[in-house]
Amino acid sequence: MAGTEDTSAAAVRERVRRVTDPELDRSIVDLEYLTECRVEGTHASLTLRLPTAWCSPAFAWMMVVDAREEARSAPGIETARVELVDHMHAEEITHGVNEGLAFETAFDEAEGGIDDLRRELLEKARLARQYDAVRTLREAGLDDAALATLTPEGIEFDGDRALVPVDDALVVCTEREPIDLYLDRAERLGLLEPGRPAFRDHEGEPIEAEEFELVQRRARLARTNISGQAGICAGLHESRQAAVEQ
Amino acid sequence: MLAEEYPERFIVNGTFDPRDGEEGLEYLEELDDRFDLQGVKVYTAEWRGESKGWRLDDPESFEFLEKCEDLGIENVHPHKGPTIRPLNMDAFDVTDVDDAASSFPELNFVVEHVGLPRLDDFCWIGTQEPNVYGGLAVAAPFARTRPRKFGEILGELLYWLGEDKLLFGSDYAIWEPDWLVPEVMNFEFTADERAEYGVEWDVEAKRKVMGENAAELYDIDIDERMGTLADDEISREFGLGSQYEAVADD
Repeated sequence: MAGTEDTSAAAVRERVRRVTDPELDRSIVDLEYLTECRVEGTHASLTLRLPTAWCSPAFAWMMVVDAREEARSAPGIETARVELVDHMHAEEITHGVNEGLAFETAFDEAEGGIDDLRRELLEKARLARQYDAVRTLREAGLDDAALATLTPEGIEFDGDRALVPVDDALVVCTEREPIDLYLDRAERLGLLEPGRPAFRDHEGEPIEAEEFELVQRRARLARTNISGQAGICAGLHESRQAAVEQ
Repeated sequence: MLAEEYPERFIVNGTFDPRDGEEGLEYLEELDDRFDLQGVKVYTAEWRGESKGWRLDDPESFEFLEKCEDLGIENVHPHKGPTIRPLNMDAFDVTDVDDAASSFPELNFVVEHVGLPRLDDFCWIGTQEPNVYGGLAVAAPFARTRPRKFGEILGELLYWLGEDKLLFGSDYAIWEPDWLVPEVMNFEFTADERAEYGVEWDVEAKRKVMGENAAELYDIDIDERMGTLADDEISREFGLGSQYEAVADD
């Protein structure tokens, strides 16, 4: 039965790969936060360790909650427990999440839940991803007027390509991935509606063609912030790993 | 103390914590009496008792900023680290600088380590508020460890704030300026980065960021000060005189 369990653990890991560090907008599996992933029967056990013991409790909570949810959604899994280790609030978070408590119940000092914060970070990630999607489409020949009015249904996918018909004669063809990545975040924020522009400014509003460049620079800034912070966290993580392994 | 022994070599800044109330205001006056303060460093993320942080735009903070104005303390350097309170809010929020800066246009706000990890919010505020500056401490070491990341960060800062509103800092307790200063000064943008950001890290920009901007905030006449330092006790003891010889512009 070892083979089945290995397969199940791999399947759980793949599901958990979808969970992102809300601030870095990268998979917690790629970031090596997931230090253990075991399956026994229909139960999954996971362990998360973050780059520091003082990473924001709210961010830590989000990752633990999301990891548990994704693990539970894996085929053949009915229950999951995620343990956060080496964190100043490891106990409250581990207990709270696995008991299905709300954040503000686990932390009575919290003023309200974390939905607003989650949304804020999701917005930053969306904007950062918009930079790459727009850049890809601009390089392929779309102008700002077309980009400002491009709707979700105006984008077709074929294999690893994205296709944007410009008119009867012209179809712009690009790499699919940056577009997919952007649409994922936009959808989570409820910004994708038929007939409405897919790309938005930093407040979620449609963009005038003349303002598109400013929004693109603001999006670039969001991207620089996220990747800059990723660099800092990576440095902290490396140090922590080295210390743990000694 | 060292700074009082060598007043030409050190500028002492004060500090305040709005949670200290009346006592804090008195303490700030005492500091000003003793050191003739031109600036304060404040830590909005510092824990104190039950409190795990404060905001520059709190009413209590505004009382202290008013006191700074009254006392002629023009420069406020907020160091922003991760704050734990309230638990459900953004631990790294820098938006309190916005209101404080627009409410106190006569004060200068130097946001240390440029608001990272909220560089985006910081730049957005800094580009709109003429009295908001960025301090490069903590971001600067990237020039050696992750130069292309440094390029992106410096590119954004020069784009949104410009070379007149950035100040080099070393956080010397953690990073030795010895290697950090040349690392930052010798940094070069790639052609792509230059094209992307439309900015230059040239001699003029370096002079401003490495010293002239700070000199302006702290009323330092550079030529005059160089003259004084060239022949003071420290220069004589450590043979530093030659580095203060005036350098001709390129």
